[in-house]
Amino acid sequence: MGAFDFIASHTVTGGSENVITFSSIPQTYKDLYLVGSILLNPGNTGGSLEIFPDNGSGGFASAPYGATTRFYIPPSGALSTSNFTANWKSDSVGGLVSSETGPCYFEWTLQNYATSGTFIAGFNQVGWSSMTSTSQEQYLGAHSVFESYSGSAPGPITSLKLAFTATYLAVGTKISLYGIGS
Amino acid sequence: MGKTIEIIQSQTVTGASVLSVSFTSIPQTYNVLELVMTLRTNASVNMAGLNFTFNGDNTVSNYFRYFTETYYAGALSQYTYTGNASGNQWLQMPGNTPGGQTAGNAFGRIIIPNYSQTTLKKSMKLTGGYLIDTSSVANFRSNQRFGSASWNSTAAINRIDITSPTATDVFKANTTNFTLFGWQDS
Repeated sequence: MGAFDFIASHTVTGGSENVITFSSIPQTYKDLYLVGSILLNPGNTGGSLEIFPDNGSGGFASAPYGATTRFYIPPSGALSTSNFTANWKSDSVGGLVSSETGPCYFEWTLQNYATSGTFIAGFNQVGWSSMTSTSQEQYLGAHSVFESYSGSAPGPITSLKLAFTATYLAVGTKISLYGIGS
Repeated sequence: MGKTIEIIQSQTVTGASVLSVSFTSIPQTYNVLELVMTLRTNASVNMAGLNFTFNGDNTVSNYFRYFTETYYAGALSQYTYTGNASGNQWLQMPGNTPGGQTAGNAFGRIIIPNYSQTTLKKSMKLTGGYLIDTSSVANFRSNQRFGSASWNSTAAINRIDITSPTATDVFKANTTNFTLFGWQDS
């Protein structure tokens, strides 16, 4: 088996999807890697992305804990950072600004996911370069998110659920799951 | 399941006056494109920009970038350009001026998911950086960029052109390299 294998992907084809689940994840890799482009349905203004790992016993009831540093351009033009301590999530994915047509780039790495009994660490980056007018550009026109995580449920991770709250995903949104190492 | 990353094409600049490198007829059979670059100009400048276009679309207002940059002076700053002359100038390449150096290149990496799709416009991850003029601690300079870039088109990407926007800022021969990878999805 190779060092970087495609496992599965999901492409949004309808207008009422806001959950993407990868289940029965093979336990034969060292790390997992998610990559894709995400756009919210036109007209949706808000919503966030939360990722729920499942080890098969705890279900998807609650998101694990995480800390996020966010870089973005607020109206003032200053650099800002923020931390999420309640959920492992990144908000403001592409389409936060109404009528935004440019999807965000999304990637997420989950290290040592198949290790039993230990908390799993992850890292992600989300970037968004606005394609809307210059006035909207100044409002969260883009951001990047780096995140670390100590989970509330230990591995092994057998499923991943990506939930987009308060919004639906645009047709064409596609996320792929890869396995790294073996 | 079971396939992996493949090199589509690797190009090392060999000529003395090369200003542009192109990847044409990019196969549409992959899931993700990854472009990895070693960048250097042979010009006597501190730094030169590098422009990117897709499918021969030279309308700069169709390109967007947003990145956070750390610079050697210690400042953390952000850059966003939407529809202006620098919209597709995503990376930099160091030149010969700092310290009269002969070493020191920029690293660049762009990841483009779903490049062959025709539904959504294109967004991509942008990473770049350089370490130059290591002749002394005082002269040392570094730069790191991370962020994203976008192309305002739903067309499948079948061509990538990387161009120096200034006629004198030629690529440094036998140093500058562009390698395009395809990530499979079956």
